[in-house]
Amino acid sequence: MRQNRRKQRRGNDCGFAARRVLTSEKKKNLEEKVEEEIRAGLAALKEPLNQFEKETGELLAGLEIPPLSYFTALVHDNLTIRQKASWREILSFSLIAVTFFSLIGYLLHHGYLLPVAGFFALAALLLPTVLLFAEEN
Amino acid sequence: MEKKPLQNLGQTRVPEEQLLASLLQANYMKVLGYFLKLTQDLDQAKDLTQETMVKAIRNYPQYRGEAQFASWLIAIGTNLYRDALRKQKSSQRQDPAALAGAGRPVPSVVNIDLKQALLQLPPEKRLPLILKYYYDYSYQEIAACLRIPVGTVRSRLHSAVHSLRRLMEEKLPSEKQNQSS
Repeated sequence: MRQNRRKQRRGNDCGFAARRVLTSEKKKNLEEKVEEEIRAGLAALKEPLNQFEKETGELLAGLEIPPLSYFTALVHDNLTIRQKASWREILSFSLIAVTFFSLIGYLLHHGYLLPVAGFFALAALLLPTVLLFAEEN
Repeated sequence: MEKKPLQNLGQTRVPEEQLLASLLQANYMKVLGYFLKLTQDLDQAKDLTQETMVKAIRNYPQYRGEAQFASWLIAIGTNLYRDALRKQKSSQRQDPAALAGAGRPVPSVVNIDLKQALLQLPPEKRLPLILKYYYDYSYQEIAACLRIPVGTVRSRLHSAVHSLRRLMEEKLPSEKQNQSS
């Protein structure tokens, strides 16, 4: 009885493995087919695509690259803005942190343990949700 | 791994700024060319290039030197372009008449079919096609740049090539008909 079950299980395992191999082979074949179609399509479009690149190149050749002084000024201005912004960020962060912890300390000192614990539990629950919707830079 | 260019320099800020400025200058035309291919509008391409340069300067500390500087700029530019499209779409939703036909350049007579066909492709198909064909990016690089899976890159590229061919084939018979009449 046990042997039969083992055989059946082994048979099932082999079936799954075989199916997995078949699926991955199918997937590979499909990818190759798609790849081939992309290559053929691009080859057929080669002439107009190259012509378009040539036209773009000609248009670009007629344009002037701004001088180095322009880029240096751009870098200088933006680095200064960034530095100022980062200082402002550090200061505001420190100020908010100190205020927040002072408030927590004040509340705990006056015996509001449960509301504080509730607030932290709520924050722990909501923070991941807020992070999910945060915009990427 | 390519070393971050500014790491090799001294601590003074002026040479750092100059080096970053020269890197930006060296890659200016490449970025402009990329946007020109995407938008086919010189003014829009120039604006996007400028925005890319500014964003690159502000995000420079995040550049780890894993990719080439030009590729990093193109990745920034691609995100900016997608953001601009998103904004354009939302403003179109608010006022459909405002942007109808706005920013659409008049294509030159030569190569008119491909330009029109490219513009008719949705950006999510146009981007992988341009990155693959003109910049020879691998699927992995395109996937990283567009933040989509490799399989999606392949299918979008396949669909882009298919649509482009179909659009061009549609154009050809109608033009022949016009010429004969």
